Amino acid sequence: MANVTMSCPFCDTLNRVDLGRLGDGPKCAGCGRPLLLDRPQAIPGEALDSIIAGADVPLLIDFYADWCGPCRMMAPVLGEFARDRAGEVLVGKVDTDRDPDAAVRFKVRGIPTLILFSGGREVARQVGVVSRSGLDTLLESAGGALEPSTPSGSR
Amino acid sequence: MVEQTTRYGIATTVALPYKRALERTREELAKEGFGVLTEIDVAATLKKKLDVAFRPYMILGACNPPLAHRALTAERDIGLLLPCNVVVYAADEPGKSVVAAMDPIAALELTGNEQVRSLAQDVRTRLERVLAAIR
Repeated sequence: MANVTMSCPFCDTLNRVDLGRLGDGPKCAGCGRPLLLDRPQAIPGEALDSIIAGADVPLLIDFYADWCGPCRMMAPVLGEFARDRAGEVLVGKVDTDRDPDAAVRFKVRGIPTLILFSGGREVARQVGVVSRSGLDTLLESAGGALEPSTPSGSR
Repeated sequence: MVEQTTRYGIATTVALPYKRALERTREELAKEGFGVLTEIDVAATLKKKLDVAFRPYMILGACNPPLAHRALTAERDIGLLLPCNVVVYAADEPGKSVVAAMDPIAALELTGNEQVRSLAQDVRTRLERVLAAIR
């Protein structure tokens, strides 16, 4: 069972969600609206630490800004990645204009910056635009650093 | 560090997010006797008019009344170059901002008027102090 913590985009309530049951249509405990975890999640800076700490699966965070052209190029790629790999990875996005402090805290020097977290810590970082296959590679390359919940060839 | 970043302006990059940089710029302008007469929120305007996203960017029209009065007395049409534009915008690096001011020496050089030129040096010195004090 892989659980993640995610803030509701409507009411900011932090929810604990079982990724194995995404098909059941998880809803926010605070406002009852659906939690759509198969797409990039807007994450308020103040919730970031809880979400990083509470993710049983790798968490890919996109630090972006609306006005940044390369960030806009990345958005559909990340959307597709989040959808195709729902349950294996959680994709979040932090608006660096709204939450500049979060960007500073994670030493983001340019946008877009993608940081992959696993087991509560940073395991990989990508600065600048990356292709869909690049995202898959990023996730796989960090495999060795991931939690041993799904070791390769264990079956 | 305040630098001449273009032929027509001086600028500094500060380790402050945009909103904070904007507040600090207003405070420091006030200390040097500059009121802010106009404010153009460039990002909001472009969003509204063209529906495009632009980095947070504000143009402030700064005016020091006694200096403006002297300039206008020396040369009536100088109003074409007033007030002194100061811009604050989000830098490429998140959490940092750029504050820039029109270089009054470069701008007022256009007049070819010696009285105006000496005023320009005074304004530039004040604007340099404003930019240097923002942190």
